[in-house]
Amino acid sequence: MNWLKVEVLVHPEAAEVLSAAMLDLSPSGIQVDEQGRNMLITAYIPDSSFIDDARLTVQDTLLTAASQGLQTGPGLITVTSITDEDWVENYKKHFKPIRIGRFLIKPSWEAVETSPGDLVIRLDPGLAFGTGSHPTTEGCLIFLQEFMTGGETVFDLGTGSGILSIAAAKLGARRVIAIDNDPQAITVARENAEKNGVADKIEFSVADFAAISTIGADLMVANLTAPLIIDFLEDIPGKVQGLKILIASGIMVEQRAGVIRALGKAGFTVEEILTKGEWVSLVSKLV
Amino acid sequence: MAKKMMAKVKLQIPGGQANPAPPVGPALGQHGVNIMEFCKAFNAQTSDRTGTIIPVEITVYEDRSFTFITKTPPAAFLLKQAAGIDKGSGEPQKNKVAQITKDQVRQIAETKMQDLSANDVEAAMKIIEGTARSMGIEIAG
Repeated sequence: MNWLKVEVLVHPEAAEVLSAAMLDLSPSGIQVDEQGRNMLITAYIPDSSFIDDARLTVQDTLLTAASQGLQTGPGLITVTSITDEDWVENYKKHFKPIRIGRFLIKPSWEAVETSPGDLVIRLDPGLAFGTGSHPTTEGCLIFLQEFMTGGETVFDLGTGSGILSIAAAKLGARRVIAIDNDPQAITVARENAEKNGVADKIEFSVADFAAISTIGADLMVANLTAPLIIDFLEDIPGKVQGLKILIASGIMVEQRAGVIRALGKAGFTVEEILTKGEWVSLVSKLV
Repeated sequence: MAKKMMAKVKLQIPGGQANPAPPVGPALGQHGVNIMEFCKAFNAQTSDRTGTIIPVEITVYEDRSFTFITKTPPAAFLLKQAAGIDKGSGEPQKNKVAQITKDQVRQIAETKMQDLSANDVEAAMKIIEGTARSMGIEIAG
């Protein structure tokens, strides 16, 4: 089945009543976008339907709305014919395995050929940050490979999809402690750890860093944002006992100097800085 | 995590029934969002409101992960509920199908105020009243 995409540009005052009318045309739903000062309301109707009827419905609705004192704005109707696609399959085609050093991050639907030494992470993009395709995640994955030797206890602050914890477990961490303040992220991260066969090594919990008293870890990874990192830095040496290495990411280029200053104040020395596009990841050691 | 927003997608779809057909498929596919993952999560979260139209706002991040929040029902839905009717009038100018009070209008206006991008309750009430009349619902008083 092919579709007719019907888009109507209207003033926000008429958006509610027009949305209702368009939902009658397209019971499977509509899309509502802000476009400048107006709203663009989109419905998809089967192309077998009589487009003039749809136009009439829209025009009638807008006329009625105007007569009731609502501004209707441009009232511009655009109709485009679109061919039915398998949107799910198309999406899958765009999402390819990602290689970062020894790591090969692959969605569940892709078969990959691996070489000896490859560490495969099975991960489908979803409801928590960390698919591997973001420069900040990539920076952390590069540093984990470079600075982990195996046997460490790793603390992952703001674990998101759990990708960095899974990576640390695959690199031979003895134990990984992962927290996130978003319960949904922790649910997703647990599932991902199970899919990757490392759930027994990672302790996930919903928690705020501020609420933690003390934990023990050799290496900490914090892919957050610069303000959060700066905020937490003062407490990190006291709370994370035995900490030697801190990987911090999610920092924008212009925020780098501020983070480095805060690291120095908290007793860290910067070992390595990695810039990818507008994003910076850095490794520092506690002296 | 280092989230940076890439896009916002706003849909109104029936609770518990999201599927990859339009509008969900093309709207999310365009931004590289995992369509099946969204449908699964949305349907689970709205299974208690199956069939009711639910506005949902999906935030897509740079790495194509996403989050979504469901919002208050559309004004038209709240109006029909307040008026106790299933459908608005086919000929709203001639054929009035129900009546609601000014208080009910105010209540809906307050609920929907943020989504209507109205500056104050009065402006929101004006939109709700106009919407009601456009559906053949009269305002008493």
